[in-house]
Amino acid sequence: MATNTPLIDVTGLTKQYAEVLAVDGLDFQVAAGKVLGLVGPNGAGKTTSMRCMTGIIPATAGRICIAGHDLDSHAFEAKRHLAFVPDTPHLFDYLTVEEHLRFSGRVYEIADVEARMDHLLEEFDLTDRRQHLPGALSRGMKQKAAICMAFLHDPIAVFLDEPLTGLDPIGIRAMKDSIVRRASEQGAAVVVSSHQLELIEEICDEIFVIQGGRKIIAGSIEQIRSELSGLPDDPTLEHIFFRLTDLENRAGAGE
Amino acid sequence: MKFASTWWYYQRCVLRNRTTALLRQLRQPKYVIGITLTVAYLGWLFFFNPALRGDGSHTPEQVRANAGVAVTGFYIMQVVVTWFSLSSGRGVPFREVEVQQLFPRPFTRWQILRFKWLMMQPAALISSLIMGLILSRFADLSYPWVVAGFWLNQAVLHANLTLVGLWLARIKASGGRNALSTSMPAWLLLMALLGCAAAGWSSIGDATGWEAAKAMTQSPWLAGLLWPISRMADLLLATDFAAFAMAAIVPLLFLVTQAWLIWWLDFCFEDKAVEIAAKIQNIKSQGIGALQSKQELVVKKPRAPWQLAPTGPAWKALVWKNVISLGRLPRRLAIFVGIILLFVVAVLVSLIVNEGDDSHAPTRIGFIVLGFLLYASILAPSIVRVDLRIDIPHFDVLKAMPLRGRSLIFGEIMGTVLVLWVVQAICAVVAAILISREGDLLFGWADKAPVLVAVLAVLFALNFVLVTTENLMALWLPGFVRLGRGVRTGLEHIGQSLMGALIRVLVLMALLVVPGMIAILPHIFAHLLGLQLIPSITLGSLAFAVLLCAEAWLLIRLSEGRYERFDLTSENVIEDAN
Repeated sequence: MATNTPLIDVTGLTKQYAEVLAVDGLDFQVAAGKVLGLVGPNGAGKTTSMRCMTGIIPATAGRICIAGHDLDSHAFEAKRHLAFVPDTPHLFDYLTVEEHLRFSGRVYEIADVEARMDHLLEEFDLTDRRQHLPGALSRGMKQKAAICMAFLHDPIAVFLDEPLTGLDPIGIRAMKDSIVRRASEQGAAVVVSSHQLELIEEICDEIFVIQGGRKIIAGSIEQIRSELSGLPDDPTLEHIFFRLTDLENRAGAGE
Repeated sequence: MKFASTWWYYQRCVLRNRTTALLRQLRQPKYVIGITLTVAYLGWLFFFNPALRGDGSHTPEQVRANAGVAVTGFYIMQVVVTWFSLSSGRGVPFREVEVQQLFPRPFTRWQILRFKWLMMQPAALISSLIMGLILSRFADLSYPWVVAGFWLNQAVLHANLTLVGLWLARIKASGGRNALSTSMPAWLLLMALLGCAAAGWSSIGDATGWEAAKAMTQSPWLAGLLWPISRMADLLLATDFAAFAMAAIVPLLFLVTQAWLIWWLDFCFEDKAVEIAAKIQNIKSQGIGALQSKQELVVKKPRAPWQLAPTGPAWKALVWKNVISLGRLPRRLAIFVGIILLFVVAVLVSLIVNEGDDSHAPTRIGFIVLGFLLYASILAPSIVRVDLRIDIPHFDVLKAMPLRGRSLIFGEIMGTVLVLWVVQAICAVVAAILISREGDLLFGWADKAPVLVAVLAVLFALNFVLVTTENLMALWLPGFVRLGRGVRTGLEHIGQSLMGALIRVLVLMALLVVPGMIAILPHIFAHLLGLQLIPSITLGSLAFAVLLCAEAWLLIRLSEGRYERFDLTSENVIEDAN
């Protein structure tokens, strides 16, 4: 299903807060059927980048295209094709899980919302909780509900910010399967931001490492391995990450 | 010593960091405005408020005696309310941070309770200083002794709260019949107070006001019951060190005895503390939503009219969401508000209905309903906040959706507008049914129907414009509006809210001017063309309502760009938003 058409096309993405340059000129593309892992230490600018790429906050500079639609000038069309799962799921306090999905279905005008809703609730083990308000859900269940909302309209550009936080092993497995299936079978372009490097290594086709809002390196794990020197034999993404971000040395120096 | 030095280190750090943070915040106009207005408002409230000024009819001695009675009443009320609230078995209210930071440390229970008391001392000192200013100004009391007395009394009351709280929590936790009797002490105290007051009723004689209150508290039974509390009040009336030292003996004895009992009984409070800490945390982050019971968190499937069709305009989905949310506010809160409203209306009815010679009870009740409707219509849009004000902190969900700015703002606003309007319409119809004659004037439906139509149209337009103003304020000046369900803390918020309210009032007045002036024209023309007064007023009111709605819609359209560019993180209000 993978093609070379970039469904997510980011050029020169920059986000400046009063005195802080949170994101500094990021460029990358994610083709249909590909999964990109956005990796970086705390405060690297991952969440800010995600929020810019999904139209939640305006970028200071740069261009973001979703399925060929400019997010700045054609936000409505671009947003019809994307889905975002934030790191902290904020659900509406007084809507049940089912009502969240109905609400989402109406916004995206999904005629067969009933069937899709049942399928997603089943997939993420929320069928028994469909009439529960968020106050009765654990953090992981809220996360699952947010994921179901995001996947309801079969988005072709998916942005997941720390998607596994709070999930139980069943949820983690369902989430991983769902990401891979959405990319490989449905041809979606997926951006996953996570500190769980084994997840990134397992499901991502390409890695994009940022620090201080800037790109450090990008490419497939094999490409990055071949570009870097001083790595142990058969290095994992963790080795690469520490090598790139210099965190190991800093930890050793007691910083 | 290690314990005291830990506490002292903590307080120094808190003081230093809070001062630094405050100074840093003052670089931003919203904090400067907020703090300036807060100081101005509190200064006016406590020192220039004409309502707090004496009328000069009492001698200084009388004023001091009155202050003693007032303080005694204040303290006994505090004890009764505290005992009632403690009867739930909640024990001592610990915060989540206290549970996490104190409980795992090598502290005894007694040390943890002392640490908690010490932590409260800065707040206790500040409140004592403020109370000292108020009482020394208005009751002519000695400032240093009022401050010292108030502070010591707070320690006594804190010890009482701790002892009674832990004791009742232990009884509650023991289960069985005893667990049902935890409200008994509060009821016994209340009954004793009422019984003693009844016994002393005859001592009032013809006295009224403060004299009656003094006579009552000096009656033998009530004076006996209130003796410990009166001794605490005496502390505030001291004029010199000797008087203060003498007055302090009894409160100090109370303090030491209660503290010794707390130490000796060594109540186990950890289980309850953890439970309460979680509740406090929920209330802080969710506001009234935390009051929902477990049963309320699982809802029955709504009936067909409340289901959302899968396709159609997106703004209707937002209206549906907000209407459903408004219908699911905590039941306990709804019952409480309902009882209060019924009580207020019942009191008003009993006071007003039988006044005058030619009173027509239903008409008077109708006018009460109308007055209440008017009052509530002005206040409700700032209280009922299930719209953008709640959703702005959750924009991560909404802004990633394909919603146009006008669609989102309009949909968010209309939920609140419609719910308010339905309630207002019911009240207006009830009032119209009840109002039928006043004196010799008879009101038939021929008169009432056009007025009702005008009232309903104007109320809808007013709701629309008021809720729009409130919501657009949240979008344009989020620092001056309460966002999310969480509880705002910090003194500067008083001033920020005042500033926000002032801006909203000014905007509203500006919005009312043009429709008001234009709407007079159809009314005049209709009247000149021979239409009767009431129908011509209805015509003018309808024109006024339409113009007001058009203005609100124009504001929404003008704010569309602001919504597109809105970024809460750069507004520095994310910490309020929870």
